[in-house]
Amino acid sequence: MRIFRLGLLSGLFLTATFSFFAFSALATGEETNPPQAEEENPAKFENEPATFIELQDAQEAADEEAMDDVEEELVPIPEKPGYYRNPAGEIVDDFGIIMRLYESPNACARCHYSKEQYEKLVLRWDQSKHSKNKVTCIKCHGGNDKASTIAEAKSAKTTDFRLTKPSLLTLHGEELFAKAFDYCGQCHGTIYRDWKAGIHGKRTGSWNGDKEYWVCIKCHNPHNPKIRQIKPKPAPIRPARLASKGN
Amino acid sequence: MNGHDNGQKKVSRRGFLKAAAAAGAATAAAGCGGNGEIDFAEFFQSHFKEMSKDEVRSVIKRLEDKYSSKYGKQFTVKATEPMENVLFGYALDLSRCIGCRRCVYACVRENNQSRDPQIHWITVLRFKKGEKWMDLEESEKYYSPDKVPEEGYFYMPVQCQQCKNPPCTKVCPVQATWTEPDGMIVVDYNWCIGCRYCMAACPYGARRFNLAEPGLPKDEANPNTHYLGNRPRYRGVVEKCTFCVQRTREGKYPACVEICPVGARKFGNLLDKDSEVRYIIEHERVFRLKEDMNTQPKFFYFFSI
Amino acid sequence: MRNKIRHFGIALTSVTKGSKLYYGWLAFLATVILIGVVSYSFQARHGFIVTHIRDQVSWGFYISNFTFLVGVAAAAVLLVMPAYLYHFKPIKEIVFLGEMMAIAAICMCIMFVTADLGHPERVWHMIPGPGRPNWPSSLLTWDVLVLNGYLIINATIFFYVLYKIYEGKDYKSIMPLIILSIPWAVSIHTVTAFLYNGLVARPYWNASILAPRFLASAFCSGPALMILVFQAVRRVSGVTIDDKAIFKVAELIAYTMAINIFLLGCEVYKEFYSGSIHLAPLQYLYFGLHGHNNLVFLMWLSFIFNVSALIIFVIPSLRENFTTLSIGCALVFLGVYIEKGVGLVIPGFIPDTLGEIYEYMPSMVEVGVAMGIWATGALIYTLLLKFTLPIYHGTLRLEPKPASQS
Repeated sequence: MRIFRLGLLSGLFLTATFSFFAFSALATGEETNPPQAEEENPAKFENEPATFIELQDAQEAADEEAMDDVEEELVPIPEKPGYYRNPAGEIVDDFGIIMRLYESPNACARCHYSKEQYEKLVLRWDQSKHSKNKVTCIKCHGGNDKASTIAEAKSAKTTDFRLTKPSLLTLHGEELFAKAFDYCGQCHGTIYRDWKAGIHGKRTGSWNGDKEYWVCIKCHNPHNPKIRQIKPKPAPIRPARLASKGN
Repeated sequence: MNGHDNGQKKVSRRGFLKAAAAAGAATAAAGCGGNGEIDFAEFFQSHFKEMSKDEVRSVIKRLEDKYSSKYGKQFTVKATEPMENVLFGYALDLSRCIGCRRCVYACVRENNQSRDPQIHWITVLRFKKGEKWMDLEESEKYYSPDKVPEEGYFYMPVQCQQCKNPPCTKVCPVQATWTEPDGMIVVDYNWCIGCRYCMAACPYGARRFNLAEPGLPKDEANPNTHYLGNRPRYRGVVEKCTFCVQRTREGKYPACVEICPVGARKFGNLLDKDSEVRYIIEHERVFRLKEDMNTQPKFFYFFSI
Repeated sequence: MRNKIRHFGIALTSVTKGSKLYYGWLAFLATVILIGVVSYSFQARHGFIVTHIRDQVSWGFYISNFTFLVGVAAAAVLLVMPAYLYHFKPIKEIVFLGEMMAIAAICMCIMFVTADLGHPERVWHMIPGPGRPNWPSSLLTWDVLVLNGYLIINATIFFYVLYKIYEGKDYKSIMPLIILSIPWAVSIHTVTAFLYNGLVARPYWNASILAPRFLASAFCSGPALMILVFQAVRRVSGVTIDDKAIFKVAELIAYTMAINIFLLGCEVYKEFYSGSIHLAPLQYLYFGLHGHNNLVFLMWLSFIFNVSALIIFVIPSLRENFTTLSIGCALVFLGVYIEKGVGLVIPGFIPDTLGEIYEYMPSMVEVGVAMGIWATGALIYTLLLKFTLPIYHGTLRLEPKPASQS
């Protein structure tokens, strides 16, 4: 349904662009070549062909319009601002993307529930940018949040994410640390690139020999990756107060 | 007269001049002797670059004994020579620095700075975002909030920029400070006369003066030292960041790089195409502090985001 | 020859003989020198922590005084030029007073620089041969060279001329050295100005006008001090000083003061009109910066002194009246002392290179050491004068002329 509408819209847009081009070509053709007049009035460029940027703007405008159309048919969910139920009864977000996984922390928490786990993981995640961007449990951990048995939950095949295998469900300790960048890097491509080059993140050891590359999760807690605020070390002593007690 | 004779004559003349200087010096040293007797061996010590290998060895031995007995632990004073084809460079990511001053204190611990009176080689400046671009006059050095980074501020640590065209070595009247082949600017603490001309000349406020006898507690002293780097200093001499010469000449990262909790500090060999610093210079939008002064620092700042 | 040695002895012992006033003056100087020695030994014992010099303002009162005194020393040339080149008789009679002042001032300069060193016992590192002077790169080595050279030149001229007068002979053979001393005097001041001028890190000093301003202010303050000293010397020692000589020097001050204020105006205009960030030190001096205004009062005081002195010196009737002349000289001296001592070295460091403002004021120790050095300078001058007087008066001559004996 939506796809059809999008297709229709882009078809319309293409037609419009084409006719615009055609019209412009026609219009310039009609002009009897007045280069001097153009020089005198450089602000006059209505008849010039649309630039790439203008075309892009038009495309964006059309996309927005299409989005507005989608919204009309969506029913907002009052307890989850920013989310809607589509005619098929699925939960979708602002962009019309189906968010059937949004529920996953809650779903996962059906089994993985303890006060500690909840506070350490879910609550922290809830305040993070990952939560805002709907990066839910299964996006990294894999598994099936619609599962009703443990075995079913561990069969990662039901997720539609790009993550490499094995799923984080089966990785632990050292192994998990060693592989972290493989997972984070799939979304954070540019930062992954910088990290590999040594711009992002920390390296210790030897500048001309063995280095320890600090992997993502050594600095960033994946459940709330933002670097947390820390207490600064004391400020230097002001020159006027500088005095040696020893002497 | 052949060259050999010439050399001999020079040595003897030098010896005579030194002896002649002794009388005057003894009175001067007695006047400002402060604590302790005059150390004649120390007084007549030659410039580091003029010493023969044997002389360096004996000076180092003397210093090691002195420091070991003073601080109650075995000190080593190295004179590791610079490596071939190495020019050290530094890069600092201002987008990542959170202004926590971990580097400042790691540097103090590593480099045996005086705790009292306090000497810091690294100054961390706080700037307000969205105001005048890098107006140092608007910066705050003494910020002390509960938590950093603070909303709306960014931080810029400043230390010796190891300039390629250093104003400080140019003005030193006795050549007590110079650029090593690996690009580090060092001070011979036994040669510095304490005139502080280099401090007036440095555009980065990177040089520090030992206003009093350095207060270095015994248990905090770092016994692993370099003659041109972190060995304990004297009162009345100038000192500065050397990119941790005692570490970097052995392949290790400087202490500030090791400690930085956010990995904002990058260090490496500028002559090595595959080094991190080179990658940053080639791929990021780097700038150097006070570029208009043509000091050509080997210390690059950049914003990664 | 025996006569010569005996006469030298007489001249030397005359230094120890004098009136009650003379002994009182010596005792006073000795007391102040003692204060200086105690202060310096305190500094030598504890380090610069007892001064108010810090990393932010790494040069303070010592270097300020040094800078001022280089000017005083250089100003002797204002007497040498009319005396030896133009043979202006009234000044020729008193030129030795000026040379003595140059000698005393240079000695004070050297003492001030030494007091400012963290390791004065290591100065031999600057001597070529055993040491490693960074010549020609470091202006400080140049300064050591020209200052010591100036001391040697002036001392040589002074003692040679004195000796020749004593012998009753002509001293023309020293003329080349006298001529050399004139550009040398300019050079000591220029080199000292370049010491600051060449530092790219300090925009306040890094202005081409610095050296001319240095010279102009030196040629006001030096002669002003001389006029004051000449009047005192005339009163206590019986040296005859022609009024014409003093008025001539006063006239010179009128010119140099006008130039000095003009150059200050040039600098103020350039900085305030263009209003770049390099304005900060000047703004700090005259208006205060970010609520820091310790020097504002002093700087305006200096400005008022300089302008009122200019008025006194420009009007001939005022500068030829000894009361107003003395007031004028005192104003010039104080005005330039503040302008150069406080307003030149210290604001180079405020704000410092990283924008920090540390309001420097000399500590008691620094003031004590400075007082001691000034007193030492005065002592040198007094003793030299006392040594010279018998020869000058003609009481001590190798072959006494019948005319001067009567």
